Amino acid sequence: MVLLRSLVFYLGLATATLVFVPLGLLLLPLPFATRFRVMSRWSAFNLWSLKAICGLDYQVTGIENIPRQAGIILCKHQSAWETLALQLVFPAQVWVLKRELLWIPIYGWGLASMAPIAIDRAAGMRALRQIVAGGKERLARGIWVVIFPEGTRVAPGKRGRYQPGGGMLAAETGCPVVPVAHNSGYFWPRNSLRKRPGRITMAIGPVIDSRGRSAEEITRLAEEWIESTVAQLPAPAPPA
Amino acid sequence: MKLVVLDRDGVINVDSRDYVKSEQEWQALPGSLDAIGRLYRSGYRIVVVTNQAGIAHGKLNAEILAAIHQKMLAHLSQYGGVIEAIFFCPHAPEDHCNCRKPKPGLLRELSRRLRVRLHGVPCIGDKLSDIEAALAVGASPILVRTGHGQAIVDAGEVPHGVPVYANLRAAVDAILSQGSAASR
Repeated sequence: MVLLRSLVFYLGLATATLVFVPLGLLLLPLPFATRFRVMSRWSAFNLWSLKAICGLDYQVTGIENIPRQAGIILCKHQSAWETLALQLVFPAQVWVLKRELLWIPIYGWGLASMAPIAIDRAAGMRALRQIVAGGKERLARGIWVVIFPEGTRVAPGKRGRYQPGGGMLAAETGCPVVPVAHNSGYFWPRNSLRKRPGRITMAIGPVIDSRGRSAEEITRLAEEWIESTVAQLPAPAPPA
Repeated sequence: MKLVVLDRDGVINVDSRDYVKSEQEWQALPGSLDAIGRLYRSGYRIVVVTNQAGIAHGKLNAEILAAIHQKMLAHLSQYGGVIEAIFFCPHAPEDHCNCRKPKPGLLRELSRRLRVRLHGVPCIGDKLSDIEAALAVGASPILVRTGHGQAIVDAGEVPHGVPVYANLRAAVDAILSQGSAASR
């Protein structure tokens, strides 16, 4: 049953993608904030259908911590869910992502229309420079930058190595850093079609003031908050 | 949608004449965390709205306040409770800001950020400023006798029609019994 519901959910997601990608390309002449408002409806639809079809809902705590000034979101990465939810919780944003995602037919074109900072993960130091240069340019335009510091999705209960790119961008720009924790991996496991019914909790942490701090310190503070908060979130036992 | 707004000092935790200015100084009032946990598990969303003039007076900073709230949330999680948001005013009375209670600025900010209406929402506090802020936005103030509450009752200053309960536990009991009566 869970599998069937999940397949219906993905059918909706694919259909919505076929609608939104041409829309995203048509809207390209419009300002980014306007396009984001339209294109994030794709995420709103998918989260709505996730609740309606799979019974998977979510709650957000700490929304008062989001500053008015555009900042850098350092977010735990356990599934694709957080890439959707962040679009509904935070203002207009771009994502730091591996460039391979843009090569996916149709979906990748839609993604490419939203000004992502696409990096070559194998490039090391050059990838870090891409994050700082690209992030700086978008923050200056008042657009938030989403970074998953672990670089890739990590199973619940596990911790990836926190990469320095986000902290470097913050130290360089002095923009506020907002850490985000959640427990999506228990309900939307990576490399699995099945969506477990339940309620994901997303917790937004207090702003980390990056002014006068080193990149290493910013990354460490974010990691400490994210990991200690993730450890407190509900960890439902896997289904029998 | 069911929402309850709580004051912090004197309602959830022991108030201090010289501000609660460290994690160690934050001590829950007996029964308060259990009450919040029951409220949450009964389907209520819970938001805290608190004056923190200690920040303006240099007694603590926003990072220490964040650590204090982290302790509060961690202890609350042991009772199965979740606080959705904590809005604080960092100003002193002489700053004449719009957010410090009895001004309704923080409640309005809450309403805007959470996209909720405050009309009829229970607001539990221990000071007249809590009651006045709640009345200013059309919410339903509730006074508890903990913190400064008993002194207000003794002085006969409780505004007409504002219910008074011994503590947060009793106030939550009343909200839950009214809620279940309304749904019957």
